Amino acid sequence: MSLRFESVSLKNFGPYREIDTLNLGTDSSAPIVVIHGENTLGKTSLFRALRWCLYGSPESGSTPAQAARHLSEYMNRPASRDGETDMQVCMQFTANGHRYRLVRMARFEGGPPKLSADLRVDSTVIQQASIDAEIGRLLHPQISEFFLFDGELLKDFYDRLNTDRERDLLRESIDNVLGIPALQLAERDVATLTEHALQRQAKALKNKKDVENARKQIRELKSKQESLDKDRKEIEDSLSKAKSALEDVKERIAGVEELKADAREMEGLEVLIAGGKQEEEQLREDMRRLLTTGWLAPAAGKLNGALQQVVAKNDAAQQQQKAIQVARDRVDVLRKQIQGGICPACQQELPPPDESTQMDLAEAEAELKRLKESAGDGPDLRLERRIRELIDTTTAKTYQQKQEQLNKVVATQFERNRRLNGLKDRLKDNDAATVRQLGEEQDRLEVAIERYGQILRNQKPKQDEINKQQDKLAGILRRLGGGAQPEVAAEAFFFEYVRTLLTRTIERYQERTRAEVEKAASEMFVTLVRDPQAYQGLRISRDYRVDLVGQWGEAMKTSEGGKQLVALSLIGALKRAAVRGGPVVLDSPLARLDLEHRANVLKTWVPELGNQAILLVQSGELTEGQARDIMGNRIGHEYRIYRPSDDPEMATIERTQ
Amino acid sequence: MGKDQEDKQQIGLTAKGDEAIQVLVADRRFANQTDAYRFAISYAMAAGLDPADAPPGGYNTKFNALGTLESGSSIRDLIDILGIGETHRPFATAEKLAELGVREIARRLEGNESLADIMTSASG
Repeated sequence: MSLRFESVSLKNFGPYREIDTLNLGTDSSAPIVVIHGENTLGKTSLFRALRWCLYGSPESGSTPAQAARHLSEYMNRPASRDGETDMQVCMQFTANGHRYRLVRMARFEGGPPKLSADLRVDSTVIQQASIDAEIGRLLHPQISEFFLFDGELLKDFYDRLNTDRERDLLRESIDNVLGIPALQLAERDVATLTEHALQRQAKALKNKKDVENARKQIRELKSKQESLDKDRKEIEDSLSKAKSALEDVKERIAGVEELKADAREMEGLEVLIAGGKQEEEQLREDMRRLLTTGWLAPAAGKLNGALQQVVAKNDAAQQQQKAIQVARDRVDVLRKQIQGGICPACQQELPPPDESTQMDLAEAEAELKRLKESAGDGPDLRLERRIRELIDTTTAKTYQQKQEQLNKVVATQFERNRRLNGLKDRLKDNDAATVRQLGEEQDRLEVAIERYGQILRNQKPKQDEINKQQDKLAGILRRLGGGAQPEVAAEAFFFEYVRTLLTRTIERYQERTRAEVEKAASEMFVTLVRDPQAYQGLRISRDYRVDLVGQWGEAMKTSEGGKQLVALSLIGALKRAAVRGGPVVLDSPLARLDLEHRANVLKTWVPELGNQAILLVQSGELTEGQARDIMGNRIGHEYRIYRPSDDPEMATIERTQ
Repeated sequence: MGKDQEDKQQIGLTAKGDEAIQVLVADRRFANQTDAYRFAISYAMAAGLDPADAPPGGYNTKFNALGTLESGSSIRDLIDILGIGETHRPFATAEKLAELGVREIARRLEGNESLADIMTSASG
């Protein structure tokens, strides 16, 4: 297999709104793609986009179903705010002379995301149900850690290798990729066929005593085999059930995180609801008070009408009184003029009266009389003041405002209570005791799986013993039967031979892979370390226990940095064994190494990984200048992730070389 | 009815008016029935309801007009200023206005109008 990534396109994944066809294509002379990006800009998002596209889960260790619950966290937020609902990653790659185009899409429209995938091989559309198997055939998810490698895990890798469970997982992954389980099943089937052939061979014997002896031994062997098969089947069934139950428990435990978030939200909501209740009560109290003091408010319109009338009447009365006063003043002046004297207005000597003055006085007195007679009551300012006091212009407006506030509070409270009831429904069956019980159940199942695995491993010597006795019996039968029934003897011999062949093949296959991994890892390690003469290399036992071997053949302890180099060496070797010729994507693989070891890794380790290595690095581990200095023209493409605006939720990728 | 007839001192509502005022004070809209009663008088005046349309009798006493209902002289002033009904018997007029007011407000509340809407529409 020679698999090579050609390009990736992203739509609304993480901080990437639209990345249209990022070219990843490389050739053997320039197999490295470097993508630079400072922390938090989106290197890991790009890494996870590739993983999601391939396997339906952005993070290793979780199934697509588990991942779906948190997938909305990867939807580009600005796009969400703009009303977009689709997130999509498209990868194009080549393998075995075919072109592959894989598109994975999630649609978020409230509730669980709607997921879909589309795989085309050349022009053939692959059925939905077969997509995962097709991808698994090219890049099995069990070995994804060897080619989609998150540098953050580097620090744990060495320690993980020194636990039985991780080693078993590792060996199981390698065995699966190499097809060992199929060979083991074939071995068992051939053992059954061998047993049948032996029975037929025994029947063909002529000597009665020999027949009885052989039959007795066959019966014993058959009984042992049946017993062993029965035990194995029971254990395998139990193991399968425990694994299935563990998956279920893990999914439920993953759901517990959501439940915890629900519980926190519920607490927050309860506080808000209590606050809203107080606010609502306060508003209602304010409104009641307004009605107590402002009960006249409805009559304000009528009172205003009455006020206008009273004001008009008072204005008219005041005008009338002013006119009377003017007429009265005129009469006074004319009378004084006739009597002689000083003008009360200008303090000047008044001119002596003549006939016209007498006539003016008569007219002025007549006017004064007319005005007095036509005048009604004076202005009623007390009434006007009283009406003004009764007019309430503020209560209706204030009451309306309070009502609007109350409506908002009530609507908000309704929504909060609806959400709270939803959360309560979800949480009612998942109290703390249930959650604790899930944790205990997980522990119990993991112990059971470990025990079943041990029992199955312990069966191997028993099976080997049966096989040995079967071989021995076959030899006896051959000697006793001679050429009586040559075709039966030949058949028995054939099956015995095939079984032996399979057993040896499996052992050789496993041993060859182990030796290959050990050799490759040792070679890589000595090229990475500063003082290679101090080490013979790495020793990998049959159960994949890893030891660092010193120059005198002794197992050595190593520093934290040394552990990381061991881990890198082992990952490189495993990748080479499991994914021959395939690509490798490394997210921040150098962050914990010093400059010399970084250069070693880039110059010797990365090229060893195959025909395509995609490195996601930040300037703290590798600057653009350092990348060019160290890797030179082996870099096929070089990109930079940057933020196109001040929005921290947006990023894009530009080509730098 | 002669002008010499004395004003009422004990005023209230008919049985139907009493049912209506229960609607007003439901959900604690008003602090008490006294507030609702005063509001109904004011509303009836604003809405132009005619006291002559109110039942002439059958009122059950609820309040002492001067001791409980009237604070200052607002009710009497209102009736006097707006010249509604028997202005020389303001509490008797107020009783009839209250009867009409509570019935009308209750009808509107039961028609899903809010008190804020009712007040705003009445105050013009």
